[in-house]
Amino acid sequence: MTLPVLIDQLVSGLAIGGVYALVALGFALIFGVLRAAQFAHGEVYMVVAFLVLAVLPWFPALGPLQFLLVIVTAAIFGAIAGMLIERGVFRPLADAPHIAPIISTIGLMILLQNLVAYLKGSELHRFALAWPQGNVSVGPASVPVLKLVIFGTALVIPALLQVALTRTQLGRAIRATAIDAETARLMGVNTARTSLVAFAIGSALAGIAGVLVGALYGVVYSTMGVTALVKGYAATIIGGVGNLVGAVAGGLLLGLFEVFVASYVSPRWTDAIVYTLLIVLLALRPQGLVGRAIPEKL
Amino acid sequence: MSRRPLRWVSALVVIALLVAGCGSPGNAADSDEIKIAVVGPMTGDAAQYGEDFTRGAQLAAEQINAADGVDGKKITIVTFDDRNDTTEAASVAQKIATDSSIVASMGHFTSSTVYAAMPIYKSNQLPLVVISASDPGITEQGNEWVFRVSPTNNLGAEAMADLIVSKLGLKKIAIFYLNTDFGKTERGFFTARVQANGGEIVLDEPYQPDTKDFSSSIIKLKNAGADAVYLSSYYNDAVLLIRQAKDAGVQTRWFTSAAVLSPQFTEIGGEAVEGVITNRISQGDSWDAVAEAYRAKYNDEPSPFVIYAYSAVQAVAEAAKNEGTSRQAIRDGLAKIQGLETALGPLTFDENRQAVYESFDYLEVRDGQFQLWQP
Amino acid sequence: MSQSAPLLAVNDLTVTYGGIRAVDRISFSLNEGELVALIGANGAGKSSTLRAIAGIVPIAEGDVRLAGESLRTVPAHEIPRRGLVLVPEGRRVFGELTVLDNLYLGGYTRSPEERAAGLERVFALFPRLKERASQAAGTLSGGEQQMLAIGRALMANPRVLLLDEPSLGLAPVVVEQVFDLLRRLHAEGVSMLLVEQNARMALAVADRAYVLQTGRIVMSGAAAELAASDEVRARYLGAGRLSTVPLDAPAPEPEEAR
Ligand SMILES: Nc1ncnc2c1ncn2[C@@H]1O[C@H](COP(=O)(O)OP(=O)(O)OP(=O)(O)O)[C@@H](O)[C@H]1O
Ligand SMILES: [Mg+2]
Repeated sequence: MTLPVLIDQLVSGLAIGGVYALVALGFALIFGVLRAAQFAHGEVYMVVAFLVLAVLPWFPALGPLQFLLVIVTAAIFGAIAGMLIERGVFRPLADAPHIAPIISTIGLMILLQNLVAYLKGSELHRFALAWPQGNVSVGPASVPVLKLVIFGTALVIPALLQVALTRTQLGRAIRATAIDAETARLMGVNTARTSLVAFAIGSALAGIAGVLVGALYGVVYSTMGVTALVKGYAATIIGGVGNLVGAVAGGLLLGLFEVFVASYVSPRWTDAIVYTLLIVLLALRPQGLVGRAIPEKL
Repeated sequence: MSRRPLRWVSALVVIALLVAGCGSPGNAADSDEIKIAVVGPMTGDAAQYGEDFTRGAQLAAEQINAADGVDGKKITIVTFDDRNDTTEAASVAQKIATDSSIVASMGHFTSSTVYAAMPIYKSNQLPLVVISASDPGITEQGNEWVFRVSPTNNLGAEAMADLIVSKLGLKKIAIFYLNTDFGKTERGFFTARVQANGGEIVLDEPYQPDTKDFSSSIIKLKNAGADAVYLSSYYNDAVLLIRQAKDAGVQTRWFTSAAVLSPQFTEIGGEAVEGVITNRISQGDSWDAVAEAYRAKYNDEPSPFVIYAYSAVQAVAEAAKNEGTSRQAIRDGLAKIQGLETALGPLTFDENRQAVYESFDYLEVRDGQFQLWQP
Repeated sequence: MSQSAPLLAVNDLTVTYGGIRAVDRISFSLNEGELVALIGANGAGKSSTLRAIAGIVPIAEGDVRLAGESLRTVPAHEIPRRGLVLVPEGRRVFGELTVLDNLYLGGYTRSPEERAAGLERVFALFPRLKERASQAAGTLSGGEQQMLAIGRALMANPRVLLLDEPSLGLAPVVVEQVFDLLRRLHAEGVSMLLVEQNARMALAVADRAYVLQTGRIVMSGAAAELAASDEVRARYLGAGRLSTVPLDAPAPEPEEAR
């Protein structure tokens, strides 16, 4: 339509797409290194959002600094949750048939969801950050600062991750483990440890996405992880079978696509159209998630 | 030789089933309790409403039982969870209806679930008192087993259209509605009355159940130039929509369906929902008395659903007192209720078994609470 | 004692795969500065031997000692820190990573300064890798990939280098370059255990050799003596794909050496 509306829609799509991108990136990173889908990934996102909500009253209202603190706390909670899951579920099943970790993480997903619903109730819980608030002009449009910050966060974090993966020894070791774990061990890489680190980083990304979406919607709730997993998975498929750059691009594309379908077709049809296209995409790319894990360049 | 007894047994079973199927009052009438089913969303994100139902009904039962019950018979409340799901509502209704010790049922939260369950109550001849679902069609179907103590949504929505357009002079109206029976019908009544009053609908936006991200709808609202927004929503959607719209810098006046009335609305909404206006049927002294008892017991503010549930139990008790405690007797007794003093005020069922309502109160969220407001 | 003990001592090593003995109680040794070849036909158990020494398949029986210390229970990723590195069969470079990343990974166990020094040494040895440092390893030619695999192993500055069929699948000219490199490393004093099906060339560079047949060592001795023995000539140096390069053919000057 008009330019301001278009800008507004773009920013909205990129904000929610950024959240999807972080979820998808974490999912792809874990998949790349462990060669197994982490179905409780969305639950990490949900649990971290609830944990951060619980400690939020203790955070000083320091504007952007508080926001930064929230992100860091979410990353730490996410990393801890991820390490517990890796050690508790994936490591013991490393030599089990491939289906075993899948079933276990589906079980974990159901367990965590019900546990949070039992402890905190299944209703919505208010999640409000003191910063960012208000609107800012972008060209002729006025858009919420919050959405720009979320989009920015969802760009900066993958970029930092990319630097870490390509410029540090640990990052190289993680990528090597994803490509060929045995050869990585021949180089002296402790692949059990790189798996753990990759799992922690992937889960930290989920945790960050969880608080971002909490801030975006203004609420958190016990079933939010299901949507996250579905959208994150969809983003991975769109982005081209489990590579990291693709995951980010896929997430952003999905967010934009959803907003434009909702705006120019109908919100009623958004999910139906998105999932129909996904099925088509999967049919054209039957290899699905399996594929090259970590590309060379962002 | 060996076949005969078996045949006798089967014949007896068939007769027993037929008798039970006819809603035989048999043991229920002899029992010294009047068992009422309360059914609604006891789990899931509408569980708050199910809890309101249960608490309102329990409170009424306790108070009636403390005053020697219904001619000495105690009222018992049993709760059932339909998870606010139409399929589940039908199967739970079936379960309730086949329990011959239950003589009346009340609840099902939404119009969709009531529609799904209604035929089952009719075919099993068990009276159902609707205490929240607001589609007018429910009591226009000639199902003589279905009563409703709560108001229909056309009343609240039409009163709101009168307030916004005629009283406040806001002509450009945006409406968001939940894309279900409840939202669609309420939207229909509201829109018709806005147009009849000379107002204009500048944005007509449905949304799906469980929507959490309203961005694209809010962008439309931002550019619609609306003087006022009306929401045909339950509290969780309404809170999200209003908060996200305010976060996005939308400035307008907000009006909502009575369905948002819940402490959760102000709790989750916080400062974002300050100034939001809704309406409800007028509340008299008896309402306040029950609300007071509720606060004393639960240390919480009762929603209207508590009062509807309470009144429904009062109506069933009155019917049992006048006509007897069989399902049929309770149905007949309910149909005859005229001017019964209940928590809602004087209760009268019209020929469609719909409670008659005449006046409305307006409420504004002020200091984190719904407070009476004069236009 | 420590003076005379071999750098790498393999005693009664056995490797089994679900009950099948792929390597059956073999013993051999490698002394400081030596180049020892392990030759044998397809499926003889050569790779299994190297992989067991490097710790990526379990040692079923027997022991492997590096400078007197047992590697039996040392996890694979610790073995490069002890000074032993395997260049695996099929090169196994990380194709999606850059040449430089591959080399850095080779120096994973070392300090940043040691890595920098190692990189200089490898680039001096293989100027071609320096030219292609930022290229994805998967885009290199087979020969270049083999150079990278060896360079990557050298980044760890190992006391013992195990090489599993470095000539596999390479053009004859390139095979020559690989063996030329091995000679050069040998001259520099790197201790190496070389597995090859190309017995002719392996025996030409090695000091000593062992012949492996269905999991057992059937012959051993000085490389030149083995190359001269009738049995070895008949079984391993006869006509076939492995003897396409005659021993006395003039070795082309390897580019890297210039
Ligand atoms: N992972 C494994 N599982 C089962 N059997 C194996 C495995 N790896 C090797 N083998 C078997 O063990 C025996 C020795 O194999 P190995 O790879 O060590 O031989 P090789 O001498 O290296 O042969 P090549 O010249 O083909 O590389 C062969 O019979 C092989 O089939
Ligand atoms: Mg081999």
